[in-house]
Amino acid sequence: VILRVVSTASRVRVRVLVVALVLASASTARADDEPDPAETTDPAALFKGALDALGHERPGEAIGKLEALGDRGVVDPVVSYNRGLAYAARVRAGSEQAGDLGRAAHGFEEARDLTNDALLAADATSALGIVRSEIARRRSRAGDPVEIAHGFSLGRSIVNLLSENAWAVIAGIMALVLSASIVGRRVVQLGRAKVAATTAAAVTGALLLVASGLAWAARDARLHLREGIVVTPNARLLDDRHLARSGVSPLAEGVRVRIVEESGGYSKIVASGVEGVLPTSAVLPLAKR
Amino acid sequence: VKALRFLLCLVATLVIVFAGAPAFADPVEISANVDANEIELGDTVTYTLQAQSPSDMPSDPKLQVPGGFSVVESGSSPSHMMSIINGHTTEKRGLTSQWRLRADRLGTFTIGPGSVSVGGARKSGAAQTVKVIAPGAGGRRPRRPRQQPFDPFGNGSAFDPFKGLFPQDDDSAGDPFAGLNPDAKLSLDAPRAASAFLHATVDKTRAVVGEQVTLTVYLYEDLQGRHGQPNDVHEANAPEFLKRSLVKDETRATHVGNTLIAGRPWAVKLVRKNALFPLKTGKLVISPMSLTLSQMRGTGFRESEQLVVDVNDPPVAGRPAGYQIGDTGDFSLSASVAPHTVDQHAAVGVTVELRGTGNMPSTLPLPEIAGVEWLEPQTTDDLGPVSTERFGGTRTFSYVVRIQKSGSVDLGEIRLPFYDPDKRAYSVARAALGIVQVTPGAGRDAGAEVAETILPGMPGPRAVLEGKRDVSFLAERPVYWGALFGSPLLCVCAIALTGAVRKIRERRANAAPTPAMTARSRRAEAEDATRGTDGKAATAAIARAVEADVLAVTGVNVRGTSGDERLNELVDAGVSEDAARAVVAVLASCEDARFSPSGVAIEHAQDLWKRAKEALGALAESRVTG
Repeated sequence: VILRVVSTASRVRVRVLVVALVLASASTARADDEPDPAETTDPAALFKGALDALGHERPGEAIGKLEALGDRGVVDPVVSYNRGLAYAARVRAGSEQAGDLGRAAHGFEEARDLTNDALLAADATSALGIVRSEIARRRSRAGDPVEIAHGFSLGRSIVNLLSENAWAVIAGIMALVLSASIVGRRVVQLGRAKVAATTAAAVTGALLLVASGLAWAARDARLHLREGIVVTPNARLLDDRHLARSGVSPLAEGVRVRIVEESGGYSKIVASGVEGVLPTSAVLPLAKR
Repeated sequence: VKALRFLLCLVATLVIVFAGAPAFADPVEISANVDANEIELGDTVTYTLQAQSPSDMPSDPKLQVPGGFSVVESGSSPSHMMSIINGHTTEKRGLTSQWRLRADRLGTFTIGPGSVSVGGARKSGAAQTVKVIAPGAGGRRPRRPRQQPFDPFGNGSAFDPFKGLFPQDDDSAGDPFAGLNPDAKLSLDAPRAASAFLHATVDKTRAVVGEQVTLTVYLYEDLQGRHGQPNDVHEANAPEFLKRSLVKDETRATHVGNTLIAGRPWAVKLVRKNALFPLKTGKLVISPMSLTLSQMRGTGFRESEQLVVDVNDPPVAGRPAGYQIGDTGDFSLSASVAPHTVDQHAAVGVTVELRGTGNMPSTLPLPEIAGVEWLEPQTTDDLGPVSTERFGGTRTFSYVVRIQKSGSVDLGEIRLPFYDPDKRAYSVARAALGIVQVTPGAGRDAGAEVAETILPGMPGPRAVLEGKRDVSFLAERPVYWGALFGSPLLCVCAIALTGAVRKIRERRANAAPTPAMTARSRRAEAEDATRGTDGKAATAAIARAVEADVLAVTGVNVRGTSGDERLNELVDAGVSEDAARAVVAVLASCEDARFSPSGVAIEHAQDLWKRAKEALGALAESRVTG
């Protein structure tokens, strides 16, 4: 209508203006769509972008950015925790991809292992429980066994009761008490005091051995134990010839397993005392500090 | 013009007359020809000999086969023709023989002449000249249709009017490398085997995961040697790569050129050309391709080289979020959505076309929009070699997208980050899907479907990174372990040591002194006493010192013995008499001084001690010499 009423010269000017506006809006839209260039170099910007995507219900984008942080070597319990939440959000949004629940469990397990923050550990534990409940519910519907968290062996459980340094400090205290008891037994003359010193030396000597053994086991686990999370639904355990093992039920998604060795695209694992082989892509290793 | 016409008529008449002349002279009609006068090495040529006789049947066909050709097959067919024209009967008996010959060497050769036996005499056809050229050395000339048997102007005929117009080559005159055109790029330092061999190459030995590595396998054949037919072919195995062919027909080898290796001409054929996409990092092995050449002397087994490609991940620097390892190549995306207006809970079709070269991803990252559900896509591939060097094409994903909410629904954008190995940089292929207008609907059905809440009660995300905290571990310090077990052990050792020292001291204290020790002790006492003022005490000390020293040196206890008795005991003990007397005299002086009523002056005691030391010295000396 406007073009009809204005003169020819004005018409040309208006057309030029319209074209310019269209081009400007297009370039603006393009600029909005472009990712922040800082995100390709700055991990903090990447983390911020992931948090923003998570807050705006764009879990796929958040996953991409949090995984990119991992590619850049960033190991942080909060990154792992948010990554778990992003995978869980993708499941909630109905855009679930195979393995999302397992990857969510992986993020929470990793956050729990890495963090020194009790609150974060509690949140990760809570989220992990929710994810595993969902996995169990699905398995239950499919008629599969619902046992997911097999738990640790008794030895691992005892070692995990305290941190490595706590065990080391306890062992140190026991060593000091034992030394004092030995000296006291030699020095004191009183019969009762001698008996007390002897008893203390025997007890602290035994405790020293136990505590130092646990400290050593905790150190060994820190240095050599490799664990991972199964991220494939119903992963079938294979034997050494990579044939499916008979009589062993498939592993549930989100199960924590011990990785014995990796070679040729396959990982030898131990899950609840049963040894077998899985494709490497089915087991996501847990990061360590 | 009239003169020219006359000349042509004259020539034609002469030709007809002279061409018919042999028929009158010799009733046996014989002709020979080949189906091609120029063939490539390894190809075959057919020499045909036709003979007709009105009386006897031609038989026993023979052919002189030149060196450089081998007979692949041969055969003969007889014929019998009878014609009656105006009551006149004509009868002809014929024999057609053919030899198929394979060229084994380069050069120009004369095949034949072929001959048959007719009525006891041998009749020969014309010899034929054939030039053998290198494969691909020139355009292959079409094979002639078989010549009419009795064409008087045919090749080989004695009346061929063009005979001699063109230069004729001889076996020895030809250049064996004529038309070879060696290609330096195909040359090698030395042949890998005699007669024929396989040679495999890759265009790069370092690549990133998903980057195309082109594997090419050539078959080299010695142009001057005999080479058999390849069979029992085993492909190059590359289990850690995705393998795609870059040639449309792998059943035949394509001649790609000739080359000179160590001065000998070789024909090079392309037998395989594959695009390999590494699936993982590491030193990935491409096993050799092998085949067996039949009709070879000895073993005809031929094997290409084993190749190794060093594969790494694409660089982390500049890697866009959402990049999947292996998405490597050069891609572009386009998408179409139809329809653009739907009812709520209905579906639209989204077709996404991924085009480009490289390792095509099998899935695409889809936009996640609340209320928009993407169903599994149907995938259609149009992939293959897009050039002689590149694998690619188009992969089409057809999605059904169910929209659960109403209003203007922005379907978002499909983004595919990929790594371009040619540019050594990341890029992102994008396709915007646009907006779909969704009219509110009444619902899918009237059922009381209650939406199930998935993963309820999730805690919220954290906005602050925990950061790195340097943790030191006591158990990592050797000092810790030393102190841990060292401190109790040290206590035990200290206690044990002090006890042992104490026991030693006690034992020493309780043990009886030896005569030598006593002697030293007594000497010291005597020295002290002589430095004092009490002469009597000093004299007594000197006496004790002498007695102890005598006991230590001789083992004779002179205490309580009288003068002569002492002397005898000492002499019996091996002491010289002079020394013994001196000792006895000192002891006697000591006793005298002790019991002197006037006491003893210290000076006297000192003098006495001096004498005693001299006597004891002599005693010790006499013991040594004795």
